[in-house]
Amino acid sequence: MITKKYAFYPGCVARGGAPELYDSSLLVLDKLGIETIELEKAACTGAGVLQEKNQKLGDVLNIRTLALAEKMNLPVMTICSTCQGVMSQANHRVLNNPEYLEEINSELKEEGLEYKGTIEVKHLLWILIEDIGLDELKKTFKKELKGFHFAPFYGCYIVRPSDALGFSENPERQHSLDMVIDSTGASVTDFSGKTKCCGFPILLINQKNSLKMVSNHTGEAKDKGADAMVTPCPLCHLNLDGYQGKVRKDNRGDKGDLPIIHLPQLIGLAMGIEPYRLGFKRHIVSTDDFISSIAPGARQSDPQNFNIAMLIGMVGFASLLFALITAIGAFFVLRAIYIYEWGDNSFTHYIDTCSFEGIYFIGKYFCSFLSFLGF
Amino acid sequence: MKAIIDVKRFNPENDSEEYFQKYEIEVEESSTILDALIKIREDMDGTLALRCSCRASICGSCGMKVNGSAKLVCKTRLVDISPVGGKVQVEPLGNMPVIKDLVVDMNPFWNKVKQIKPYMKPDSEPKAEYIASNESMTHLVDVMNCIMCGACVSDCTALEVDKNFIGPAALAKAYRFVADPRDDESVERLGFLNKNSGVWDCTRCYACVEVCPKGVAPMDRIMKMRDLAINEGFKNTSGYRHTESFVKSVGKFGRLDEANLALTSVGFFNIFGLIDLAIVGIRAFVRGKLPPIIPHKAKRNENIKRIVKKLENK
Repeated sequence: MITKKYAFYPGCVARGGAPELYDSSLLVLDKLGIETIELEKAACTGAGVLQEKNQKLGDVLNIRTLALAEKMNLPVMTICSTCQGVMSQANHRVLNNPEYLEEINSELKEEGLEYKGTIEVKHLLWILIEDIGLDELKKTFKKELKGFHFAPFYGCYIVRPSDALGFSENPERQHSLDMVIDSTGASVTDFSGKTKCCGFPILLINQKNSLKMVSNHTGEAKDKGADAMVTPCPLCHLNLDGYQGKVRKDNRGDKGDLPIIHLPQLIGLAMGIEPYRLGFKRHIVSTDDFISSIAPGARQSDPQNFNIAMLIGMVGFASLLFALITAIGAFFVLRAIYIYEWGDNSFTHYIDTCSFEGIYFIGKYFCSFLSFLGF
Repeated sequence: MKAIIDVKRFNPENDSEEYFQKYEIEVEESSTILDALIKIREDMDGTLALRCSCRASICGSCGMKVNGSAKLVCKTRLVDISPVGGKVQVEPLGNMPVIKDLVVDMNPFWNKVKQIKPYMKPDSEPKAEYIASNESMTHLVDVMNCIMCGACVSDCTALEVDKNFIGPAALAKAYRFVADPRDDESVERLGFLNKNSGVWDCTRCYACVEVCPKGVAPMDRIMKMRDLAINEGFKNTSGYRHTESFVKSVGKFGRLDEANLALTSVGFFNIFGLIDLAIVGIRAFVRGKLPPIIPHKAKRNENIKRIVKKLENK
């Protein structure tokens, strides 16, 4: 077994909206014998959004991340196409412009960091092919996925702009996802949308256009016979998975039922890891049929029960809180009535100045309402 | 050298739908795809329609899709696309109606360029020669290189779903005037581009940057105009709130606060938008997928805060 070590950069979405990506990645990395140290001090890459406003700020934050990894003398591993692309671009910019690198390093000096330009940023997808090798990868597979059809969906930033992504030195990166799917024994469903935009970046800006992209891509892949779509980008996953059900019905009149699975989930399935540990239950588009066809009789329900328990817990907590507030309120209302009716004058005066009268009247009406109800 | 070229054909007079036709031809090692297509037309099939003129990537006539992405075929050698005997598929440009075979109707393209008023608009007639400084013009050289071949428009992923989007070529052209010191209507131009179908509808997918044969980088110009529009005070857009909230979140936590980003971008007064978001939120919550209410923070993020504060206050 190969032991490789990386500085691990999971990215915001793997730690936020798509936690199943983070969990499944750790499981797969463990089986591959890859050691990782998470870059916990690293900032968000900016995802291209921050760069719109202030490219230098984005570059400083990303070069800081690379400098942190350089300090550990480890290459950076990402599990998100967007993080990969944005960090590759920042790295590409400073490596081609030593003056700019110096300018960026001057911002990092205060923290005692300096980037010398030795770090390579690699997506797990590329690591599987370049550092581990598909033959070694295949040795870890326990389950043949023959007969299944997976549609690859790359995510823009892992395929463009190609000059920042090292395609000339590593041409296989252009079809890396196809190669990995192929290595599991499954068939690749080729479709025109595989390197197009998923719509996520404009989801909150122009939802109509964004969701049309979701229905076009998932619909096309489904028409071409895909059982599921595989993506190395959690942002693509969020849009394609989260909105598919709604838009496929509106735009194409069919059912939005194409599971959108993360790359490590596919590898995990091929490795024979139990599906429930890979977090399929967290998907919005149901993966039940897909999972039971791949691993008949596999346990699936673990995380779901946990969520129902959480829901019950939260409802319980909320009702306790409500009861407590009501009790405190009732105490003050009754206390005000008592003081106003039977308390001594000085106290009454105090209550008056505190404008407890209002509460008194509300309380009185409340009491008469209760008596009206027969209490 | 032998080459196999798969050409998408369509003649509206005879064909009910498009089809692919395979041509096997003998070409030189140094041949471009255009050389091969011309040879096919001349020696094998005179009915093949295609547009070309200068054969030196200056006129912008021969934009076509090669193996799925737009290229100037006169600038693309066969050997660079595919090893000997490999697949070369040639299709007409995307996002434009096909007239015949590889010839597309460029009218929608020109109409969009016209929309952005592609001419200088000074306030008054110049009394003498306007001398622009080198610094104010050199950064525009790349964008002026545009030869209007339509490659970016062909592969634009936003245009594919919304025909009204002004599109990369016209927006890059708009930037050329917005940033020109001799033009006096940049604020009005930005106001127009800030509206729907303008700069905020770009998905930032880099397709136009990747396929442009002239290094115009339309997407980078669009991003520049977003920033310029904000600086001119055009702030009532989801796009502005989205960017602003993103930067704030990174400055506060070092990471992205997804839940808050969604709320601010939709806008706190957009009731329907919020209801929509709530529905998605509830579904995500039930599946255990809701972004954390308290966002995941970068450890010891005071250095990130310092950097953001310093570089944002410039």
